Parts: sequence; structure tokens; C-alpha cells
Amino acid sequence: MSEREFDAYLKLLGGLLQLAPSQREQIAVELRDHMEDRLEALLAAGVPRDKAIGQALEEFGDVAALAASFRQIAWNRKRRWIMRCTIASVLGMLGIILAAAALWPGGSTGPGVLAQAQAQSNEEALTGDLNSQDARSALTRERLSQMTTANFTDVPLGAVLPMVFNQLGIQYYLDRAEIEMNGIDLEENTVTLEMDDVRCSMLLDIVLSPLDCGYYLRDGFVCVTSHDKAMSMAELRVYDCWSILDAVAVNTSKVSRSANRLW
Amino acid sequence: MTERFGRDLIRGSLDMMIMSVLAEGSQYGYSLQKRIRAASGDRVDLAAGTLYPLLHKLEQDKLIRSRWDSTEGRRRKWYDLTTKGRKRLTEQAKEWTSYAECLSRLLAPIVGAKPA
Repeated sequence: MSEREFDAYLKLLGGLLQLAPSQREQIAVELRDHMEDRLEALLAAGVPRDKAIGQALEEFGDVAALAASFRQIAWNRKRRWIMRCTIASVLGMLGIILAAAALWPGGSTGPGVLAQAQAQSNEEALTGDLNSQDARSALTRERLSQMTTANFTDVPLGAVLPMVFNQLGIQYYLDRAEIEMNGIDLEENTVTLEMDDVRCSMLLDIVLSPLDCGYYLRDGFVCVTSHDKAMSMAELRVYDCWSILDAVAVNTSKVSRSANRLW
Repeated sequence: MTERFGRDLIRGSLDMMIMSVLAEGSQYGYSLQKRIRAASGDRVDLAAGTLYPLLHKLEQDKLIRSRWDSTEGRRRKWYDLTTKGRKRLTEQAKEWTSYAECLSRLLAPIVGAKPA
């Protein structure tokens, strides 16, 4: 069944939506389905065709108002992403500052402490002290920063995670209850990607972010959960800031040398 | 014919109505609208222009999820309640039942009073 009035309404709506073509098409198909059902019902009730078409359209109301409602929802989605990115950036910066403060208690020992901390990040130095939670956390961070290779074709997310973590020897916990409560099916959602030399932490972000999932680190274990929960635990998330600390160390030593020359 | 509920009265409970219908099983937009109308004895007429943005918002909030199906000859979008949605619905239902009881007690003397 094709009604020109329906087509005209949906075309006008599509023009006002300001959404991606695929989103516009899906909305048009869904609303068109409703219009046709409603038209059939009105015709079956004895309403003349012209009047039935008008009534079916009238029930959708003003096209500009309807487009505004859909745009508002799309905007809320964008705003949520912007908020998440902002919070993640702020927490990341905070993490860097705290890490720098913790590793650099002040005075002339700064660069030396940094160098020492970096040396301690070496896996061999840590494996001997795995009973300590701090050592295990550092080891997990080290492994998350390692480069890896990923090659998946339509593999369920529930199977991808064990492969990634087992390959790198990272102990993890999958918060199935929280993930499924957010409507994410670990078996239905599949992963398809092929990447060489990708940092493990980045691989996890690439796999988890589109599904509104995330992870945080606790006592050396990686906990995979919903994005919201991961964000709420974000003070424990992993941020690979060694390269920045290296830069700080280099700059600091330059400043120290300059200061020595001045003296 | 029974009078329809005012828009202001039902505005805060539309989400709950949609989720309660989806708690019974999968629905598409039109069938959901009909089910709400029937369940309310024609006293709640959820306009299509209100229904679809609401469905999309609930989906965005992950309280419901959708899937496309073409087995009936044309593409149709079906909605289901998620686990998160079911949990939210249970909480809201308890709160609303308690609110309705409270309001009923307050209004009982007025409803029962004879006109002067």
C-alpha cells in the first residue's frame, strides 16, 4: 500500500530530523508501518479513505514538533557521550597528576624516584612479589599496556574477552549481571576486527565502548562491566601515563641542569 | 462513553504504561498503542506522535530494546523489556501503588461527599 500523503509527511519529517540517513530511514519505516496499520483499521471501521488517511496522519501531530522530539533524543545521546569523554579526560588528568605526585615526593630526588618507579614496572621485577596487591596491580597495568594482535570475525563478546585476557595472562572478572541488566547480550553481540600491534587497553576500549561497556582495575583484577559502573569506579581505572611521566622526567632533568648552571 | 484521562494526569506514567505492556511480551508500536487503549477501557489514548519518541527514549535509556522483523511481509520494529527495564518497572509500580493509595485516602471524603 502506498499513500502519497504518508510519503510526503515522512519525507518532510526526514528533512527536519537532521540525523544520519540510516536513522532517518529506520524512523520512516517504523512510522510508515504504524500509518498503514492505522489506515487499515479505520477503513475496516467504515471511515472513508481520504478521511482515514487524514486521521492517521493527524495522530502523529505536527511534523516539526515530532522531528524536534526525535532530535532531542539524539542530542541527549550525543550529550551523554560528550559528558563521558569529558569525565574520562578529567579523571585521566587527575590520575596523571596523582601518579606524578605519588612518585615525585619533591626535591632533588624527583627524577631519580621516577626512574626507580619505571624500573619497578618491569615485569621481571614484579613477578617475584605477586602476593602483594600493589605488585599485582602494577603487573596488570603493565600487561594492559602491552601490544597485542587481534583477529576476530563475528565472535561473541563473551568469547572474545577470555581470549584477550588469557593471551596476556590477565586475571579478570566479568560482571555479567550488571552487563545484562543494561540490556547487553554477551552472546548476541559479536566482535569483528583485525588489528596488529594494538595496545591491550586500547583493544578493550574498542571492543567494549560501542556496547556501552567498560572496565576498571581492582586489586590487580580487570573487572569488565557496564560503562556507567566502570565510570563510577573510574578512580581505579587504568591510564597508561608512563610516556608522559618520561617526558616530565626529561623536562625536569633539563630544568635541574639549568638550575645547577645558574648556581 | 467513559471520559478520557487528562493529559496532565497521565503524563508522568506513560513510561510505566509502555513498560508494563512490554512486560507481557514483545510488541510493535501500533499493537502497543492498541493494548494500552484496550487495557484502559479507551480512557488512555496515547497519540502516535507521543508514543514513538517515548519508545526511542526508553530504548536509549536501555529500559527496552528493539529488533527488526520481516516475517509478516513488511519490516516491523518490535520492542522488548530489558532486565533493567523490568527492575525499573517493579520499582515504579510499587511507588505508584503507594502513591495511589495515599491519594485515595486523601480524596475519599471528597469523592464520597454529597453535593451541597
